[in-house]
Amino acid sequence: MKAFLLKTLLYFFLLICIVLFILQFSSYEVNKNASFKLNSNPRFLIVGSSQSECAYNDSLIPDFKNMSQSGESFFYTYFKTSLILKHNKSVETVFIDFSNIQIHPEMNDWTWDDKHISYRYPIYSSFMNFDDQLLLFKNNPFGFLSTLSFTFKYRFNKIVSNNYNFVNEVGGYLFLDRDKTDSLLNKIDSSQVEQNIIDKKKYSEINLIYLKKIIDLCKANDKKVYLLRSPQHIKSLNLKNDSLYFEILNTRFKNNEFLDFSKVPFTSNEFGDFDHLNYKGAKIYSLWFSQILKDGLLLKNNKQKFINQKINDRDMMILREL
Amino acid sequence: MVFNSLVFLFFFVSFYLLYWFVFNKSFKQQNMILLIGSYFFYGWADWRFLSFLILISVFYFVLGIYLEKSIKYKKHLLYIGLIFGIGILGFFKYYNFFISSFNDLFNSFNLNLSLKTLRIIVPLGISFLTFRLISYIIDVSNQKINSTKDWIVFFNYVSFFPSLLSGPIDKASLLVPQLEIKREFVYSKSVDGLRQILWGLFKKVVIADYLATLTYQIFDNYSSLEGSTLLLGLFLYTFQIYADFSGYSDMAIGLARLLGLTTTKNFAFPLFSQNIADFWRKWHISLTSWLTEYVFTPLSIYFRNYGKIGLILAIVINFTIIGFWHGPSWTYVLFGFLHGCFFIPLILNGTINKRKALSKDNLLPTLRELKNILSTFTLVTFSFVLFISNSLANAYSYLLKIFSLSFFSKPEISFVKVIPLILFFLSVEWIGRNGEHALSNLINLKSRLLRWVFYILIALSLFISQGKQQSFIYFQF
Repeated sequence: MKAFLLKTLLYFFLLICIVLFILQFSSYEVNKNASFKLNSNPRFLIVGSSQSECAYNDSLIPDFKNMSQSGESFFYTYFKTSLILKHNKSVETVFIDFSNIQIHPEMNDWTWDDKHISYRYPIYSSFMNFDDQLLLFKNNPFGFLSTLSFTFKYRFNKIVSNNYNFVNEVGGYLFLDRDKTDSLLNKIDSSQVEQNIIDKKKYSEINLIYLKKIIDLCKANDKKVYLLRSPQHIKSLNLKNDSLYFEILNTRFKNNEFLDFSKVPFTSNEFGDFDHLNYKGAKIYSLWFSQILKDGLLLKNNKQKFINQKINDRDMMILREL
Repeated sequence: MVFNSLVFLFFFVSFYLLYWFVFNKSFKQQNMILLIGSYFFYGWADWRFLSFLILISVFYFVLGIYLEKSIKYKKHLLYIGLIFGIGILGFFKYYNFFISSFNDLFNSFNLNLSLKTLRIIVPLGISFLTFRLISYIIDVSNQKINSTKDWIVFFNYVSFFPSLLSGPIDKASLLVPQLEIKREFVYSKSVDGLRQILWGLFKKVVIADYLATLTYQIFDNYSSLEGSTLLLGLFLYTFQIYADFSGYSDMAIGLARLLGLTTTKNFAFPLFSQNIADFWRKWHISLTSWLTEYVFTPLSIYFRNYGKIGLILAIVINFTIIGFWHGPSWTYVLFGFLHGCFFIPLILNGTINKRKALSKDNLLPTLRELKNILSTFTLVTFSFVLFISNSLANAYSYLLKIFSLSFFSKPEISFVKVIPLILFFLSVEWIGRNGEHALSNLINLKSRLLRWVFYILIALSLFISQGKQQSFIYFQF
């Protein structure tokens, strides 16, 4: 029995050593060669999840790059931002989309549930340190271990194809061609509203910790950093958390400038759903956003007042007519 | 909790340590922990059916005792047990099939019967479970075995977790006596069990799951694909279903061996079969031997006065039942019926019982062997069209598409990656064909280093191939 157990343990030990070596070696190779160099030399960068991914059509905003991605929590955004800043010295200003959903407990799932970990961990694992990996392992050990195989295959493909460019797979503007807001309006019931009211103790702490890390990272790199809230439909269920959202914003991020665009008026057919502008809304919004940047938004002392003024101007109407 | 998951690995390692190091003083302790482990395993899959498993075990345990004692009501009790077992299987698995078939039949005569189907959740492993219970009461009734008076032994026989969900279907005469004595650790048995698990995992994770990504893509879009692609898809499916099911069986048997128990062999390299009779002696052995003992033998005795016709009838009925066992669909019925018919030439020319054993020491098959292997393989492959189709019409149109002009066109899906994989798989199986399983003769390889390199490479291929986990095909049966 002893001999059997010892040999079995030795076998597993050898196997684990070989697997760790393969993973470590591939991680080193990917890390050494990885490129996050953007095609243009943007001065402005926006990161976040699907709200900003669908809202900012960066082809309409000069010197601006949208690197947001659907379903991405700040845990992964942190590594992405760090690498983009490292490879793109031209970036001066970083906008971080901080919408209501970012405090939702669902952000924990976006960080470590099976679906999200298996997609994002292979991409970013080569750039994570031990503590970051431990965090994922602690919260979803089986998911973490299962994804190691995907990770190896992902890195192996990168190495074999000698293609270390990550830019196209980590974000960009999403042309959302749908318009289902009206049908959603008919479906809202009180239970859905209740489900979206977050208990004060249950918001996603990990997402906020990594948001803070992104802000600190930008500051350490001498970049200007702004939190912003992208346009949302007035009926968005996520807005039901406004009180908790602002409580967090005004306590934990009170030293950061916040730009609220959530009230920029759009019609229902300019939204894909309650939380995402579709391509029609994105076009109007991006042109408008570009204009207010040009008008010196970032130089104003009271930026929110300036935004509100601009919302009330006739600009939006003119843009719609274009 | 499937065998090729990390959850199962953690479960089994913990269970194994408890089994051999904590609850190892007597067979009663071993049985108690085995029962807890089996119920945990079953409950993990679907806890709602745990009570079903317990109730059915209680019923057959009591029935077995009374069946042995009673002389006057022996037959009645046996019938109760049979009707109850078949009834459970019939209700959970076949009720809706019969109802909709009746409705269709009456509709064809313009009679609207409109019997209602039910939303039934089928308990996992029910086909395997009921066959195990039926064999127990028949064997007790025929005095082949004594009924067990130890309820834990019996409950373990019913719910033994390695073979609970997908077989092998162990007969009580094999498993119960082993559960009635203390299991001792045997080094060689355990090592061989591990080897069998490793090869089973390779077959499932590396071969079957990979082939599934190709075959399902083909079957889902068959109406828009060329005949040549469909044909290749069918051939690949034969490898897939073999690797999937025999892989599961290897894991189940290997796990049992790690616990010091021997279960029924389920596959004996059926891809190298010399004819259809040989194929069924090697494919899903526990099911075919079960049906041979409890269906075919009584039937052939019943028809013995009819000579070869009687034998044909017995075989065709037996195989139709085998087909129907797989699921409530006419495609499975036809599958079984066809396989029964494949035996007719062998019966008529009197070669059904002539065993064509493969030469043991040849590195490669002889030309004659190869011809037989290929023809049997092709025959079986074409019959699997009934496995992949959800209706007879679909199966027909799939075959029709194969034999269209597009048969001569270039396949639309690249199979280049598959060829080396299948060649390696077949080579290992061919080399190991004389053993209990493909790797059992590996011990004869003198160099320990080479053996370990092989084991490590297989395990690494598992790590690399881990992808979208496909469920075991035979779970649905």
